[in-house]
Amino acid sequence: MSAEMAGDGASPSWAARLRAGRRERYWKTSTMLLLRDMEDLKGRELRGKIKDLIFWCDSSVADPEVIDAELFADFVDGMCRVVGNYGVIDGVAVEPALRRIIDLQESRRDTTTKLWLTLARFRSMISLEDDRREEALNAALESAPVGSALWAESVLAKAWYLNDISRYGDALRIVGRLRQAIPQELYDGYYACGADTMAGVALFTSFRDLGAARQKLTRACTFSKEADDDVQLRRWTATAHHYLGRIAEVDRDYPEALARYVQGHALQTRCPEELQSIAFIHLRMSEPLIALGYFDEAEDHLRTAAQVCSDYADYSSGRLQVQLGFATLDVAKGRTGFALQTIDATRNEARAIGYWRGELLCLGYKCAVLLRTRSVLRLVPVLLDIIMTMRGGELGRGNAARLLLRLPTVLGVAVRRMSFRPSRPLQPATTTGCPCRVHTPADAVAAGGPSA
Amino acid sequence: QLFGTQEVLPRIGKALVNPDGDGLISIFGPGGAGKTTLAYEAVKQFAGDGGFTRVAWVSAKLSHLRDLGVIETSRHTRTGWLDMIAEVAEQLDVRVDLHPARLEESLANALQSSIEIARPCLIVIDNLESAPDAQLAVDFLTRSPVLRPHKVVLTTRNSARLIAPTVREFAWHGLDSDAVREFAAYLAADTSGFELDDLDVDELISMSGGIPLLVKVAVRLAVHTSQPLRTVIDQVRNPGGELGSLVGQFLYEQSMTALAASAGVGDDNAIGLMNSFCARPDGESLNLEDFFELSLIADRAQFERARTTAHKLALIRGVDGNRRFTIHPLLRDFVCRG
Repeated sequence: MSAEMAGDGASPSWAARLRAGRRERYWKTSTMLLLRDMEDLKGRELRGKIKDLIFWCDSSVADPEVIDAELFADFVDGMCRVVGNYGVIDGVAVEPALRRIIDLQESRRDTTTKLWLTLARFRSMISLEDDRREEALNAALESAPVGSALWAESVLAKAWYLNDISRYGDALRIVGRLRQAIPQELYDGYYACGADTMAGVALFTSFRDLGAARQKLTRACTFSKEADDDVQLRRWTATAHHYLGRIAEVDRDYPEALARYVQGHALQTRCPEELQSIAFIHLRMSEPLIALGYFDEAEDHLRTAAQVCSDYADYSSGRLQVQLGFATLDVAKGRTGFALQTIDATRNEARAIGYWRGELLCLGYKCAVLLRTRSVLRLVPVLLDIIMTMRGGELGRGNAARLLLRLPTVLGVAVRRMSFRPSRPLQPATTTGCPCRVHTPADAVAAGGPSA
Repeated sequence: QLFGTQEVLPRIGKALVNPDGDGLISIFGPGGAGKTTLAYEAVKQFAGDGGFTRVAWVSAKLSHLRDLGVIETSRHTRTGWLDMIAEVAEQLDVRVDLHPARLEESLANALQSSIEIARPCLIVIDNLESAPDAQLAVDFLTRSPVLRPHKVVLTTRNSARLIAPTVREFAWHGLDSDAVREFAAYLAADTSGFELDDLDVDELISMSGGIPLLVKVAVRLAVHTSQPLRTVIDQVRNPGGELGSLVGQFLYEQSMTALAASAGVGDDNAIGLMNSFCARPDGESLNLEDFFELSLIADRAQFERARTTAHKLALIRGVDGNRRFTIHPLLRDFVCRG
């Protein structure tokens, strides 16, 4: 008896009929259920779904004819978020899967923009500065009609990438194109939020014009009401609040910084779970609290950030920055020696996992601490260490020029802490503590405590 | 209820409760022999006597990721392994660093902390079905100071002794003749008018090769279709009248026919019901709502009829008080890879 035939020897076997039953509706139902889970679940439950997601991605690629490309792009985008959140160690199946679907779509002359954007998002998990990420973004831009919503999303994704790799001028230029090319109504009603956020981030991070950055980010925050019903708007406005907090910190308006971080956190937690963003908000909250002398509250936020970082496989500088946050707290408490030990331990850890940017960040911090304590003589070996790190790191891989260009940006994180260039007149610090919901519960706010 | 384990189960138990005994215990044997059931029973009966305060149970099933030829296999295996380590940590409520470069070391260090040493745990890594899977587990377990006072039980298809000479092994090749006889009698006990004579049982032993699933499916099929067991077994013989290597497949085909022919089920519902399990990885279970949606059966009453009948035919299994449903790995192979 053949494996394909059974019973009377003429009808197809059940195995064959079962296979034939797994068609478009079956694929769509399973995909929708997984999308629902990615939206609804958090924490351990969501992490437990990673196995299912990768399995479904593999299965889908094995039978591309049954796939709805748009839905698959949504699925892979969600999967990238979850996998990026919790860290499956590599996503070797994801990229070939996406490329196969893109080929299939192109052969059908169907749209591929969303798929290219998803591929770019996936590549950003592997490395922020990544040629294939940029290629995918360019392909997304080319595949979408100029002025369409998909094109606008591609422009903003490219602007995010350009900010990620410190090409702030290019980010501002591409955001400028967006305003000119899409219909005014569409821009004003929706994409202005993303455009202003991206431009604000570029203007702040490059330290070009803090006043203009504040203006754009504040304008982005006017979409808060619309953001209630739209995840993308919530993400943009959460980012805008976050950066407004950072500008307030530069102005040493710590109560305003804290209020912005709290608002950003509230919006971020209403987005599908993005642990890295949440960890960074807690890290940022610790900074003004340290400056205001609320060390216990700052430590609470640092511990929360550390805990969130340890919940996912962190490829970014998040975890290291949290450890450096503890060092900053130690310096503020006058425990400079202990802080330097923490920085050295963090640097060793960065070196152990081959994270050269982290190593440079630690050295930048060390410079800042030594300058602050006026230990100028001890700076010399640190500067030599920086050069040695370059030799063993990027220089050894033939990227010396790129590294040298990036070095001021990496060191800038430390230098910015020490610099003080207010973008508007100083406000007296009048906060009475941390306004977050943990340190100032809602009932305390109602009773006249700090606003959350 | 277990059959045929009277001799092996106490031996596994003795190894588990001996604090000075081997820390790495392996149960090996062919797919479908019932290794998971044996390990489960051993843990249930002896973990308390062994002083284990917690049990982590993870199903490896790493090999399903290797089906697609285009995918680089070893990296995927590694991915699955590290996810599994994270799952062990989670079940034991041990905080670990989830960075891939630090995860293994982090778990090993955590388990050797004074707090954890005072609370011995038992880790079961089930379904290490291929040699590379077992190699990964054994490399970690024998290299790192994970063991003592903790213990690890592996279930594998092949002997692990070649890769880890210190492993304490127990072979389990499924039911022997007496156990098949007992199991079949147990399955048929509640069915009035259903008789099993010696010849039936001999045929069953010959057909099943000691694989419990085949015994169960054959008996349930005979009960459901009100046919003598010998008739069911005759239907799964190959054209030469022999019980060949595809006997399982033929038996499942017969069971699918019986499911589809049942009142209120039909071909489409039978296909939809069983295909539900192909949407999730091997070893995963489905909750009732997802099972219903994935089955694509439009009507809830029809779905319940199909589900109940499939359960009676031993095509699906209820777990967690029938709140979740799963399928035996051998049947899943037939349904999803056929």
